[in-house]
Amino acid sequence: MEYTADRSGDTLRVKISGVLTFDDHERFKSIVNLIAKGEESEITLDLGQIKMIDSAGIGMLLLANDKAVKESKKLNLTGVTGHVAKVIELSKVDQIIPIS
Amino acid sequence: MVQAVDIEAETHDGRVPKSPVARLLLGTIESANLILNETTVDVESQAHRLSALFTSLTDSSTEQTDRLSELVSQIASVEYDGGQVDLVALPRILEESLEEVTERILVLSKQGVSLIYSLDEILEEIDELQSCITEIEAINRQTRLLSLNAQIEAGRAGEGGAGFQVVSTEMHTLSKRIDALSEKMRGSTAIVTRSIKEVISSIRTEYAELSEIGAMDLTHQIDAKEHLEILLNALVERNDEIQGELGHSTETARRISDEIREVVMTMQFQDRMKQRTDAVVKTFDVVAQFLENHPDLVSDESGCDTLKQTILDSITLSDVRREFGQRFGLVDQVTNASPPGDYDLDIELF
Repeated sequence: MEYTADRSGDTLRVKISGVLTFDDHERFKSIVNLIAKGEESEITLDLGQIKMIDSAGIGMLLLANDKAVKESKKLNLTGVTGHVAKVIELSKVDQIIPIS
Repeated sequence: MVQAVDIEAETHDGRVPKSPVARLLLGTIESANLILNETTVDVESQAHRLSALFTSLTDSSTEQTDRLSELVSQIASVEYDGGQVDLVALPRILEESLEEVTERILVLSKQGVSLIYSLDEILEEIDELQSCITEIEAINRQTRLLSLNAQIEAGRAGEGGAGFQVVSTEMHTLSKRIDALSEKMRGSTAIVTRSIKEVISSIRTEYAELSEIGAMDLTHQIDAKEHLEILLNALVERNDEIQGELGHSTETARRISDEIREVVMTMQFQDRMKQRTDAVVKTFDVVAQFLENHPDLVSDESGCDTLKQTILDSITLSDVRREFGQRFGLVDQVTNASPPGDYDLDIELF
């Protein structure tokens, strides 16, 4: 997994690419820290470049959302297509995290 | 069974009409009457039999449709756990089970990652704790050095430094105890760190094993869900087809029943025929009676007029009466007045 973070106004946009599986939990933690410690109240996770995601990856997205909610911030997902869209639909994550 | 009748008939009281024409007519009428009567009875019996058969046919047709409906409803569901489970609902039930399993995998995955994150934070705190221990050890080393220096200085001071000698010795003892304590703390933190790393390693191994059997990437679940959706759509489509066919079958059965009822209604011609035949038979009876009672009057013009009137008076069916009236030249009497009990043939027969 790779990621880039862009700050624009009150929004933190994190673009994730590659695969998001259990093996990426250490690297993903830095994204969770960005969400927790950043000043921005809106966070967008762009999943458009993710080729594959497993249940741990979905678990990490939910953890990121938990952290955002705990910090009174809003998190949403974007670029949800293909395999990622199928997994998100199956896991009903779209009922927990807004998708734009 | 038609019995042979001698057309050279006798009257009932044994009197034989004098006129050979009258005798011939009397015999002919009696024979014709007998045949007509038997035919009427036969037709009536057969018509009733046909009606009963057609009614039975209607009942069978309705019963067959009901059985077909029952069969279709039995095919569409199975009995399970004391209740009926709709086959169309089965993929949905399986899908719900699949969703439940997926949800548990997700909870497990999330909790696993969450646990690792928490343990990482504890490890960070332990690192901080170990830095503190290192700092304490450095301070303690300095304290011990100071106590040694104090002991040396107390020795040089002689008796005046005896008290200070005691204090510096105690400080040295205290420093040794701190050393022992920090060593113990270092040992404890090492054990905790090792335990936490083992837990993290264990979680990592569990994930690796789950990944190997494909429980983590959810590909199987996605495939299963897609297959269930296809199955569900196919079952719904098949169910619709069966319902459609059943609807056609019911419609056909209804049409058959309607047509059979129509046939039964049509067969009521027999009733009309019977009424007409009875009217003709009655007419013949009147003629025969007249011939018997007045065998000599048939050659007389006024006698024939009396017979015409007697015949006409005995007929109650309006169209039969009209026919005879026209034949006898008594049209006015027929059109202007109807005998009591007259009824039309178009009345509701059943």
